[in-house]
Parts: sequence; C-alpha cells; structure tokens
Amino acid sequence: MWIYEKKLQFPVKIKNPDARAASIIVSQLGGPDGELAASMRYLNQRFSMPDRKIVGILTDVGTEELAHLEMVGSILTQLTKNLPVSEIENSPFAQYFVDHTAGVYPASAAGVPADMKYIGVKGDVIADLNEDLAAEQKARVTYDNILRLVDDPDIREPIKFLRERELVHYQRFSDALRLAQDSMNSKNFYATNPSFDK
Amino acid sequence: MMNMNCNGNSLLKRLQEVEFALYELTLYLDAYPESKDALMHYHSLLDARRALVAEYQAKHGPLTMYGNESTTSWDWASTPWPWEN
Repeated sequence: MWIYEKKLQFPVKIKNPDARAASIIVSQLGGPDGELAASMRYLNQRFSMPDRKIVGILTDVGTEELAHLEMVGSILTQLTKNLPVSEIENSPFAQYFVDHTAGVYPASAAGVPADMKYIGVKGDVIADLNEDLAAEQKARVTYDNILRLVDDPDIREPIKFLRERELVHYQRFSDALRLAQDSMNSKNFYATNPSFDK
Repeated sequence: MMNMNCNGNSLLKRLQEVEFALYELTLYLDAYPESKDALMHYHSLLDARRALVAEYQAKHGPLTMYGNESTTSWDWASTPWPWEN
C-alpha cells in the first residue's frame, strides 16, 4: 500500500504566472508520455514480473512517477495562479481554461484527456521492459521540447530535474532488462520469454 | 530473512488492523480536527504502530524503502511482494 508524504521531491517555486508555459507543460501530466501514464504503466506491469528485483525497480520508479505527477501539478498551479483574463484570452491556454479554469486536469498539450491507451502491459518481461525503456526516452524528449520552449529559470529548474530522472530510470530499466536476460538460457539469442511455453 | 506471505501471519494482521484504525482516525480528524478523543486515540495507536513496525521489520524485512534495517544486505526488493502466494 501507499502512504502520502507532504512534500515535493524537488522544490517548485515559480514567481511569474505564464499561461503559454502551462498549456505546454500540461502534457507531462496527462499526455502520451506524461507522468500519469508512466506511473500506471510501471505499477501495473509489476504483477506479472517473474523476478523480485525487477518488481522492486518497477515499484520504486512507479512510485517516483507519482511524485513527479505532483511536481508537474504544482508547476501548473503556480503558472496559472491569479492569471488576469487579459493574459489568458490570447494565449493557447484559453482552450484549456474554458473547460477546466485553473484546475489541474490530466490532458495532453493538444487537449486530449489522458488515456490508458498510452501504456502497454503485455504481461511479458521482455516486451514490458522494452516498452519502459522507450517510454523513458520519449518522456525525456518531451522535457527537452519543453526546455526548448520555456526560458524562465524558475520553470526550467524543476523541468531539468524531471528530465534527469528519465535518464536515470532508463539506466535502471536497462539493468532490469539485463537481469531478465541473464536469467534466461544463454542460447536464447532472440530474447523471447519462454515462461508460458514450458 | 524469513520467507513468509501475508496470510496466517498474526504480526502482519495486527499491523494491518492498527494501521487501518489509524487511517480511519486520520479521515475523521481531517474532517473534525477539534476532536480531542480522536486525537488521543490516534496517539495511542501511533505508539502501538511504532512497536509493531520495528518488530515486523526485524523479523520479515523492510516495509518501506527506508526500512532496510540490515547494514550488510539489501532486502527491500528480494523479500516477497504482497501479492505472492
């Protein structure tokens, strides 16, 4: 089970609201490579993993993604707090505002609500870990794109932290895949998972 | 490290009961923070929980990532996960 800790993993202190930045960054809450999809992907894949160490990695990364979900939500709420209507009406945030006001709703930057179609749970250690490796790289690219579009250092610092974490998670999932393959027959060149065919 | 699952472990069952009571009290206190009775009850269960957690972790390994009591082995990921039967 889980227990909540009343703190962020990394500080978020944004002084200047920015509607345009919020309309971009929301994608890391509920977009295809966002933190909601990431946490649900890893925490659900755990149940069919054949190795306790791999379950540990998925549990701890999945739990950290929940903390990242909260960081992105904190960024969004600080970016949209006390925004005057004049700064909303001519910004791309207007389309989000009309449905959600300044609430934090998991959707992509294009306005598509979060969807579990963004994640894969194949029930196969090789397929799922390869999905996870790709997911971390896709999330890293999204953070790179956010950094290309946002100048304010108050926003960039937590985004840079989140980007770094994608790289660390990618490394740990690489370790998990190696653990899985090491436990397979050394002649299993194609890295298929034979556990269902025994 | 003792290999055990959740069923039939009375220490775990007691911990689940105490923590469930603490959860209920927390929900109640969130809504009624002025209740002195609930706050007293919360504190008495908190002491019980602390002792149960220490005993459980010494016997069965970590309950959280901060509970790896051993300084010579990493037991967090290698002990059974709660859905193993």
